[in-house]
Amino acid sequence: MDNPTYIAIGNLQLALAALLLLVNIILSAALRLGMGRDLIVGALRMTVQLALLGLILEWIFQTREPVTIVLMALVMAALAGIAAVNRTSRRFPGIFWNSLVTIGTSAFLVTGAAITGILKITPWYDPQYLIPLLGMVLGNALTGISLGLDHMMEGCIRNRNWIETMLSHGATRWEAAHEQIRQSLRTGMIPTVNAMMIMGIVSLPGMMTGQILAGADPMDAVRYQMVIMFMIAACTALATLGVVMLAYRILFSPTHRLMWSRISDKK
Amino acid sequence: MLTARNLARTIDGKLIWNDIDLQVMAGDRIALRGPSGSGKTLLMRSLAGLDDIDGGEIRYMNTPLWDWHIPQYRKHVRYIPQNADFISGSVYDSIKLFFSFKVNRDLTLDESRLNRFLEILQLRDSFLRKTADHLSGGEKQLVALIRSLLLEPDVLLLDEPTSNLDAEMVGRAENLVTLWLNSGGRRCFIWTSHDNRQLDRMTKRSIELTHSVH
Repeated sequence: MDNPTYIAIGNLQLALAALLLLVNIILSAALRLGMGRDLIVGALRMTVQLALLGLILEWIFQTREPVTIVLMALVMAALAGIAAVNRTSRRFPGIFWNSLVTIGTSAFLVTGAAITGILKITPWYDPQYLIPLLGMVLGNALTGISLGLDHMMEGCIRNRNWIETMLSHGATRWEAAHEQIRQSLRTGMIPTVNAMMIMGIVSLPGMMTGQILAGADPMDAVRYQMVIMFMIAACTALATLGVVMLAYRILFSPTHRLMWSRISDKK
Repeated sequence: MLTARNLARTIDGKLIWNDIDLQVMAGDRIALRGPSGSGKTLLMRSLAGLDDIDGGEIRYMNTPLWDWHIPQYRKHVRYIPQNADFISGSVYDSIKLFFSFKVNRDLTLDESRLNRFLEILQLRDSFLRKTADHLSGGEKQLVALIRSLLLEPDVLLLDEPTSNLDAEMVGRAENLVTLWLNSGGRRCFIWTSHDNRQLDRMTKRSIELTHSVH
């Protein structure tokens, strides 16, 4: 980035942008809408988190040490796996492992295939590509996992009677669980599918916008966006399928029972 | 056909029942009696392989329950859970679905028997086209009963099968079960109910669960 084609943002510009929000906070206070607190906390968190991330990324981009970069990738995947479970409202034994294993496997498979097979980036650990691509894939897989898990657990509890009626008339655990699995996968994929449906019509995707702001040719930016969307869709589908199947194996025993007592409320 | 010896079950260290022995033969009509909280439903669920036992043994046709492929076992010993439910599609779909399970594929849905059942219950044909969200709790119980009988079990475990029906419909449902029992095969049932007079009407002998856990 020796010769940036974009305008660097200084502290003054940042402060000016924050002023835009301040107007709203004043408005909220004046009208007693009670939104001020949330807005302030949200804005502060965003600022601190991103500033920290910026520092870490700068450091990683400078070291270019594969071990450090892989470590960073692992931490990102672990955080995403934990966050996915934290968004659900129920628990079963092993739920965190399920989430960590599936999000790790699916994100590294898809990102790995894209980096080595499709984009052919050398070296493969080049953080300029690896970190942002992985981050976007993880963020979306996280949503898929939490929605899929939540729907699966909720479905097993709400439809317990129906599932057990099927089981007690000779349905195998797969036959009895099939409808729940199907709906959980669908639910997990909805945000991704919807995003693809409206992309470029209603919404300008963030990554593409970023590239255009950074001076990239719009057509190039579009191509990148397409690749990342394919990656996101593939990874979210894989992660949702993985986590729902693992949940199925825990919630339906090999003796064709629904183990509803394994599901507990979030503490 | 179905035998159980020395069955015991504890929950959180508390004994729910033990020393349960039962022997169910073709043609048997058995009442499972006991105060509420005595574990009637739990025993039914255990007999259906839906819940654990902590001691004893359940056998069907002289083969222990856990040596059976469980769905195959449940093809013979069918259990209608309390408040049996269904969630999507029409009544007819929910009946048809059960014939698509792998172990049930050699059975075919006999439409004329289905219509005969509807006649006995004095339900209109349009009942079959109703969807889950338009059915009352009692109507869902009728669906569950019709479905189980059409699937021709040997042993039928009925857990409060008529608790949400009005008196007239209870009578018709009882007629339906009696008709099924007497129309051939080696059929039998175990029935639980809060209504002791119903048990007196429908059954010939009883299993008593005495322990009440509170």
